[in-house]
Amino acid sequence: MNPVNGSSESATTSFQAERRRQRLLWFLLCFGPPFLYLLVFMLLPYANILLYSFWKVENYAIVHDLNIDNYLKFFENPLYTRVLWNSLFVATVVTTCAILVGYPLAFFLAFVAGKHRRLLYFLVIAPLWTSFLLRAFIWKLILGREGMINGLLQYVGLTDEPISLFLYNQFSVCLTLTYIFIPFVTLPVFTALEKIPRGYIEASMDLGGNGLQTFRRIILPLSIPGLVAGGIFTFALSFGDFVTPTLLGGPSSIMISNVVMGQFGAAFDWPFGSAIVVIVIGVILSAVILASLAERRSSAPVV
Amino acid sequence: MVASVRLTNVSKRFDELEAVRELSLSVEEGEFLTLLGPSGCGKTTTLRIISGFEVPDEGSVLIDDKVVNHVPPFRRNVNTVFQNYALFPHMTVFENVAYGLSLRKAPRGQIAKKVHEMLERVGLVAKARNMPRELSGGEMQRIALVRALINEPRVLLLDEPLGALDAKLRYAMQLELKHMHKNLGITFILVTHDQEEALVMSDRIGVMKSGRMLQLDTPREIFERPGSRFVAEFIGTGNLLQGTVSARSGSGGKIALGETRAWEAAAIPDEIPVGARVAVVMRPQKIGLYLDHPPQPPAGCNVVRASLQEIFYAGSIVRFFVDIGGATLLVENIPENLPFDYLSIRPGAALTLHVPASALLIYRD
Repeated sequence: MNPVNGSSESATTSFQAERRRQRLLWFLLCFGPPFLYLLVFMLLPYANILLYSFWKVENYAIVHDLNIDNYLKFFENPLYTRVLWNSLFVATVVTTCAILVGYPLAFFLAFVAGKHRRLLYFLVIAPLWTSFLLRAFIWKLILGREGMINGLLQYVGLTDEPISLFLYNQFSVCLTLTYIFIPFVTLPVFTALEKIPRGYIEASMDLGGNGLQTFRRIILPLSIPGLVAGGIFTFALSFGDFVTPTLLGGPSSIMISNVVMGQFGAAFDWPFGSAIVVIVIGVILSAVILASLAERRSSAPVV
Repeated sequence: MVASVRLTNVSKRFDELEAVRELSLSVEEGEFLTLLGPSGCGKTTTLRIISGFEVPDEGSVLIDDKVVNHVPPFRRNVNTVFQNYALFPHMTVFENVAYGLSLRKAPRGQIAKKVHEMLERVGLVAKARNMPRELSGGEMQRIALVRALINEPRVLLLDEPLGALDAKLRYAMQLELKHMHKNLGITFILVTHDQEEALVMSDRIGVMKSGRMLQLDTPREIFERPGSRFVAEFIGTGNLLQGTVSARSGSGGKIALGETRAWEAAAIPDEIPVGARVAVVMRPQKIGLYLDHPPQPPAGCNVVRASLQEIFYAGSIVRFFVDIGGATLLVENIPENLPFDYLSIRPGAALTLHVPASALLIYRD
């Protein structure tokens, strides 16, 4: 072999090795921090909870002894499963109601509001700047015995004394959660609706589609991604909420997170609490997967 | 003759902007009419008034002799090819084309047959199952066209349909649209800012500016006898000189350009008196260019001495910028038609121009 060739070849190899080293360095720099973040703040805590859920408590001490008793205990006791069903029911009702109110609101903002759009958008997101607790508590003042509704009913003369029908039950929990999560539906739907080029809507009308047909066949399918995002937010967050049932719920409207709180608090059964958390995560994950499957079926991604 | 679309004194205003002012227009059945003008001239608004997306503030819109001012777009027998095609991204090509028929609840079999027929017409049957994002620009254009045609509209509106295509494809599509128009026999109304497109395709061209119709005529009349300075400059390329009418004789006269020069003009509008300042527009293609031994000029031809400034070879034509003393003129010719070899001359070369008196378009300045 020609010596000149040989030396150039070895130079190429060392150059390539250098390139490879640089690429590895860049890879670590770019993906290292986010991976570390995920590891520390998501993977490790979840793994920890998963591990705890297979341990047990004996004599007020956690025993590191792998077993599935916690899961059996949960599913064998109708008290717990009823709370799980109740939470699912509340989350479903809240998601449905929030979509029924939030979607039209987003539609109004995107297509009807015109020049008042900015102000209205601001009014929709303004409640998000106050505390969640406060937003839940305010409904106590509205629904309570001395609240606005009772005041109005008595003022009009429909009732003689305060009605305690409105507060501390399933209804007040669903109403409050719906109110809280309406912006969570409205914002992603509004973004999706705003992104729809007006040309599509005009093309539909031009081809003979009236308002309703255009909505059903063009606007709705193209806004599904926003609707699914908002729906998932609402479902997951209302399913796992414990503040609202604590403040406004009655004895029958306990939700799953209240039980978890109890296990980590007074009951001091961290393993059982962890097992419930794993079940909660499982439910929400299934909901998310179902929703994204439904999304993929009903609409192709918008270019 | 039946008017397919008729606008009478139509005006439309958006806040401060008068988009369309007292526009009257009558489009004959089966005609290919183009609205041409710079952006913001009101041509698109006019189209949207016809399609029903804008309601005129004043005046009336008639389609097939029926007033349709307040008839919504989905009840007008008019369809549009939109500027960026506006193909529905969540539907296949088939579903896009079928959309108009499916809204009318036509039977499935009939829809499939008609869509197939339409796709065949533009040679895209193979793409029926594709999504719009998988199509090329020209394919999207064709799909948008047949999607609009499937409802068998009386009038097809085209809003800058070829703007997004590259030059070669644009020429091909111009021909295709022209053939489609001939075969279908329906009225086409095209909006464009591309003057060549307008000249190639139209039976008549309406040139618009600031919401008004400046001139509505055949392509040849618009090009050869532009009715105003704006039209003259907007259509084709033009040389512009400033001058004064120094004498009139019959329909023509003399135009003084600067201190010493006076050119013969064959046609000066009657309302321009002697002494008035005028703008003189000349097409670069109408000026004859000679190096030495120029032929005997025909009667009524201005002979002008000039010196070459710059020369540009543009393939099918050669462009010369020549100095006539105080002004620069653009002269264009086909290389084969030049009486000399353009490669042999250098800047500074002495040239002789023949400017026919009929080539001078005179407008009040």
